[in-house]
Amino acid sequence: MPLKELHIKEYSNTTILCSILVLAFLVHGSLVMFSFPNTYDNFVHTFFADHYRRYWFEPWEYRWYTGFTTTSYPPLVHQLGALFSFIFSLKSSMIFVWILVICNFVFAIYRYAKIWVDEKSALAAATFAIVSPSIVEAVHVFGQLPTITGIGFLLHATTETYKWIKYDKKFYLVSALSLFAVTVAAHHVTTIFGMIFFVAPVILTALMDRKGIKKVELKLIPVRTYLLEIWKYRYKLAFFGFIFLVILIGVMFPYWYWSKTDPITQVPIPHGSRDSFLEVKSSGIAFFIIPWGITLALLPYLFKRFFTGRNFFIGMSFALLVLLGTGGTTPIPKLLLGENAFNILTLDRFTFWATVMAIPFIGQFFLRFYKGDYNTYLKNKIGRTSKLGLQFIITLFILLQTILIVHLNQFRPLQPKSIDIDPITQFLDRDQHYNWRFLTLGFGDQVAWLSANTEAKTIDGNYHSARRVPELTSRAIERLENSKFNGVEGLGSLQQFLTIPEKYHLKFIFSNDKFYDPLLHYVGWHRVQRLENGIMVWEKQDIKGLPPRLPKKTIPLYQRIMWGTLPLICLVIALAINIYLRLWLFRIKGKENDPSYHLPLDFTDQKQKTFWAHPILLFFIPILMFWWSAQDIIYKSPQANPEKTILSYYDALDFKRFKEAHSYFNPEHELSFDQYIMEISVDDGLLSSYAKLDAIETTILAQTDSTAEVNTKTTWITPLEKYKNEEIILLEKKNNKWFLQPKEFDISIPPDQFISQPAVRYFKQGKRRVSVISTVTDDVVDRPELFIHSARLVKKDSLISVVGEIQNTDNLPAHITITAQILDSLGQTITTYNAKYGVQHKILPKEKTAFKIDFESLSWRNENDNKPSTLNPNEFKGHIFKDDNITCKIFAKAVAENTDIYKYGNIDKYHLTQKDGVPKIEGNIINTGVDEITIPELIISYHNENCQVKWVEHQFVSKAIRPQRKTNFNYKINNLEKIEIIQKIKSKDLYVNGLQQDVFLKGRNINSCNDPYMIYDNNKIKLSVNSFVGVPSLY
Amino acid sequence: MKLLNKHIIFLLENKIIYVLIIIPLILFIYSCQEKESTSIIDIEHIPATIETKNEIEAGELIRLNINSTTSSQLYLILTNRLGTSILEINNLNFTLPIIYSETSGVLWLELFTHHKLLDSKKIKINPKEAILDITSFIGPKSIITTQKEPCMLISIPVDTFDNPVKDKSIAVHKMLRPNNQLERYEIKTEHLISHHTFYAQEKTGKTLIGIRCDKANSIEKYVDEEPGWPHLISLQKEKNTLIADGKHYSTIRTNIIKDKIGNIVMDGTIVTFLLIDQENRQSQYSSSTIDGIAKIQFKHPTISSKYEIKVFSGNAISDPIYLQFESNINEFPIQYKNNSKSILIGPITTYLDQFIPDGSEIKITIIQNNKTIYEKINQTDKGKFRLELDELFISNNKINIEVSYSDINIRKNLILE
Repeated sequence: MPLKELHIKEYSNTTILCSILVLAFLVHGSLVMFSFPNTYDNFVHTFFADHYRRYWFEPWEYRWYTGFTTTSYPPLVHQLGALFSFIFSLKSSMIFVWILVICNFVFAIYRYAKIWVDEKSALAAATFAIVSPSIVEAVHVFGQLPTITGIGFLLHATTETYKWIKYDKKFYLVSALSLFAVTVAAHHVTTIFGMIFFVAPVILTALMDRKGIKKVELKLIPVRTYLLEIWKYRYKLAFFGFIFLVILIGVMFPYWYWSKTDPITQVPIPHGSRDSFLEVKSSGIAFFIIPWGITLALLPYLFKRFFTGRNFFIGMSFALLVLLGTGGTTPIPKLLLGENAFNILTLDRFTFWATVMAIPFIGQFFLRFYKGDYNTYLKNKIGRTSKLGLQFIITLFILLQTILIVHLNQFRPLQPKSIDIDPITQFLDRDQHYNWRFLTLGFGDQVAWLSANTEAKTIDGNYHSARRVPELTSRAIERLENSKFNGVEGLGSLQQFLTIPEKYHLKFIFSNDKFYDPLLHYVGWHRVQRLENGIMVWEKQDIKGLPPRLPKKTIPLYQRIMWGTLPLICLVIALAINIYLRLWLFRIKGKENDPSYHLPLDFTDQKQKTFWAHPILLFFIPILMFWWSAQDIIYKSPQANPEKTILSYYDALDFKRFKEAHSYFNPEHELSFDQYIMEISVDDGLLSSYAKLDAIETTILAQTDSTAEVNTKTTWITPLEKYKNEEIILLEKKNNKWFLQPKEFDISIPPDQFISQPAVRYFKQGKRRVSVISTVTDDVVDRPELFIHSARLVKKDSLISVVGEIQNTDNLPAHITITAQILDSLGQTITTYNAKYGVQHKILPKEKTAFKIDFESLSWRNENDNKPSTLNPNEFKGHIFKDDNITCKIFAKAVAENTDIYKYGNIDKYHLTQKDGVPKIEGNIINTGVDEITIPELIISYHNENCQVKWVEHQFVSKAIRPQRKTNFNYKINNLEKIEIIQKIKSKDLYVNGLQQDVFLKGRNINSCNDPYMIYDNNKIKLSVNSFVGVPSLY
Repeated sequence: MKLLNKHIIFLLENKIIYVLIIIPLILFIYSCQEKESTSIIDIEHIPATIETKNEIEAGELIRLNINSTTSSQLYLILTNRLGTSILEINNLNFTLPIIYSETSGVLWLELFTHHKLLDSKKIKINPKEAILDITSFIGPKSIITTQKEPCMLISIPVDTFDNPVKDKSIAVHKMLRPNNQLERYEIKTEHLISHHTFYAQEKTGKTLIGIRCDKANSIEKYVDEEPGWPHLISLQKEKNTLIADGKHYSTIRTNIIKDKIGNIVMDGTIVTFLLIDQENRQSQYSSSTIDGIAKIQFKHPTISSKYEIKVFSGNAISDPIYLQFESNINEFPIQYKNNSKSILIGPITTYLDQFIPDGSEIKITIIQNNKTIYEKINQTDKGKFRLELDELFISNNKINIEVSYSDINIRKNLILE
């Protein structure tokens, strides 16, 4: 056969469609395998699938949030995954479901496209669906399996509805309804909005098509005829709507039942799709630029096509979707949706639907561009070679864009690096560690994958709509494990969980982010071991295990059976009707014809006048988009004046771009980059290693033509507190650019090269016989005995605190937990809280520590409080006590401690100074041990003449201290007049290890006043150092 | 309509549809069903009695003889300290399964038919002699010698069936105390256990304990007898004069710290040293004891000073000792050369004519027109510091510079070019 005859028309449409499906299968099948672990949601769906695999007919899931019900999410894809997981592994079965779902989607696009365009264009549309940026993003970046499943079935159902109206065959109605049932089971939101945005306009179009002139269908029919047609159809449509509602409610009844009966109200979580895309560029890129991608250039074409002739209704729908998809960029979406819906919905799905809706027309455009009238037009205008070149470049853009999106997390990691979870599951299985709850930090969505592989429970979770813990529901935080990204509420909430872990039986933390280390240390946790995968296990001593039976909400049996069977039954019925029955009706029985409903090939709608615009847009818009997304990287900040130089310098420093930071130093100072990076690398501490710059304020103190002196006030966010720093920076001007004078580094050298240090080290055997039975009594170490010297309930600025002093009177080192309980006049507990920062959690034999307990209120803020705009972990909502007549009980308990005790932070030459009338204590902290103190903390207690504690404060010191080195501190003495004593806590209200202190002391008096105090203004002040060693030499 | 009929016929012809519809239907109906309630049957009075022994030793078989003429089903309810069980009686003369005669205490037998109690009987089962491991408990596991703290030892001797032995059986508690004394106590069991309280003696160490009762033994138990609070503490005398170089560290250590009765305090006891210089600046160093001795290394001052050193541990405080620090810094120059843009301070040297340590902090104050325009602490390198004039905002060329380091304080008037 001559080559010329081998034209595309030779192949049947079915053959081409099959090839497209094979392509989709291959492309996405192989890519999903790779992108699966890096997406946002895939692991969450895997976790749900794991749930159904374990307990198909029991919707209650204990593993997250103290338990939640899986009836809170449509189950179809999860159940399919669970079903296949009986054959494959869990992950493989989810990937298998993905492949099926994508192929179904591409097929659905082909069928849906035929409503709007001719058959060849529909094939082009199906091809484009494989590389459509929004689809690629939804699959390979977001991992929205149910959404894609839902939209696939919705498009099928829409097509069937169209055919039902147009050809009036009841088979199509049955088919459409069966497909709607599957859509509901896959994703209810898609169904509800799909009804409005897809089905309604299609019905209106179909009604028009019935009356429209059959041959040239692009012309509108008279309005009156049209309205009459609708009137004629009122009963049928009402019937259709009614059945649809029955399906919507019936199939997902347990879901609606849950959402109506669940009393928990959730604070909505901020979502990037609600941001103004111009202000928050990252949101703009993720939720607008990427899903539209190159098709943004086709928007003029699309609007033209959407508002041509019979496309009017779908055009309206499309325009609305595009508008809603712009999020908070304009106030219009908020006005349209209303405040409430705007804050609950994630608006990126509107963009997603808009792009799906546009695919048929995009397909048509590309057919015209590569084969049709555009092709001819371009050939005539710019010649064959240039035309081919242009087509090649556009193709390249599309393919590059696909690869770029699939690899997005390589360029900009959205998730922490993949963690091998086997060591963690082994740790949880070992020695009944699953008897406590655990928490992960810095795992990203891999927490869901970990949960899917273990029976152990976490207090956190990855499905925020089902949060049940009040500390979580009352805040706009998605997860605890990434709380550093959730600002004040995130870290605040995490701090509460960590301070009172006994409330939720939280004992183990798997930390993949050293950012949280100081926080964990200072609220009294300690490291246990580093697992093979590099994850550090933190443990809190003295936490009770979970009770053998946990509370659960019982779901009625009929609902459990409905939930377990209906989704898959719907799918089986839909498949039976659409494959078996369709074949039987149209092929085997052969009496009926399945009409081909697509439009004829007709490109006559558009005038050639505007043809020139599209290739230009297609060429320049992608370049423009890329430039907009990357302009921060391309342009370096200027050094036009001293302030800008300082801002740029701090910005570089904050993002650890040391090369750039170094470039702001005056080159004449001969500080080489090597020396600079060397000095940076030994510079550790709260500000250097655990802080994020929050605000910067500069004031010029003096300026000449060539030099300037600038006072720079910086505010840093650390896991512990908000930290303020102030320094004076000198700048010099060279070649019209301002440069910083390099910071002076400490040049002192320690006196000794090699240091030896004897130390007492401890080891706790635990179970001395390797056995699975619980620890025998002989292996239980007695609790160290404590003595509370004094305790008071005090009030400062209307907030109540408990302050006091406690001593380890035993011969074992103790890990102490001090809990204060506030009771009202009737003896009812109002609140309890543990000592957080203002205490040394680990004390040696005979060591004393002051303590301070603040009462944090459960809910961070009132409903009408505004969301704080910046992160401030120090911000704190105190408990407001309504009852004046309150009493307090203190419960101190201890367990023998053997790790993380570092007592070599000493205070050197501290003395009182007065500066500007402000009394201060200045001095140095010296490290005489052999480990680096990463973050030193000073605990300052004020005592009266009888040595009883009046007030306690703490101060973190920003710089780390290496062995035999020092750092200075500066503490402003507090004015105690503001502190009101509510009551001295009586000794009968002091409990140690569960016993009243009076009882076990039996009259022994161990009160003493022999301590190193400093006298100031009738007060005795005592200082002590608490040290956090970030990298102990043992690990 | 015709089409719909065809659909229905098709549906009926396909068996799979039956399965899909009927299974959920059955499950639904099943779930809705109420539980069947049982009706009460009236029973006429039936006389029946149990014949058996009243007292046996554990492990002895129990034969039962039931006298009854009834034809209705009889049930025997057996209750002992472990719980209750029901036997269905098929044979009127039978032996109870051995497990019921193994548990000491009272075994209640109640004969029932349907809802009627016919007869009841109690059998006392006595334990055998002790033979198994003796379960024992001790607490607290450490006792303080100075406080004569009490400690209680509890043992529970049991027979071969794990029954506690008879009251007034004798358990022998033997103890080897840290002072090498062997103590032996014969304790009668009472209310199933034997127990006795003993007190810490004066020497620290481990008390080892063994228990025996009849043929039974316990595992070894132990109690740590530990020293009490630090009582008298004092510091070791060091050489009297040290050099105030601001660099090196010196060690001070305590004498062996003991409790009230002379035992060395526990390793790890915290000791705090307080150092006060002549200008009332305090330094506070902590350390923990090893073999009763705590030592610290503290940094020398830069200025000649007399240090008062005290030490705190537990609730005790030591008498102070005094240390004299002498500084010996040589006079140093402050140079300004014409045309150079900097002032060179130093080299500063000290008693061996070596440079002062790198990083030593010198305080520089520049006064111009009776106004301080520069005041900063700077670090020296090889005894020197170069002050760059570019960084200053100087209005005319007459300045008054003051440099102080250690005990030395140098003032100089400079005229800058």
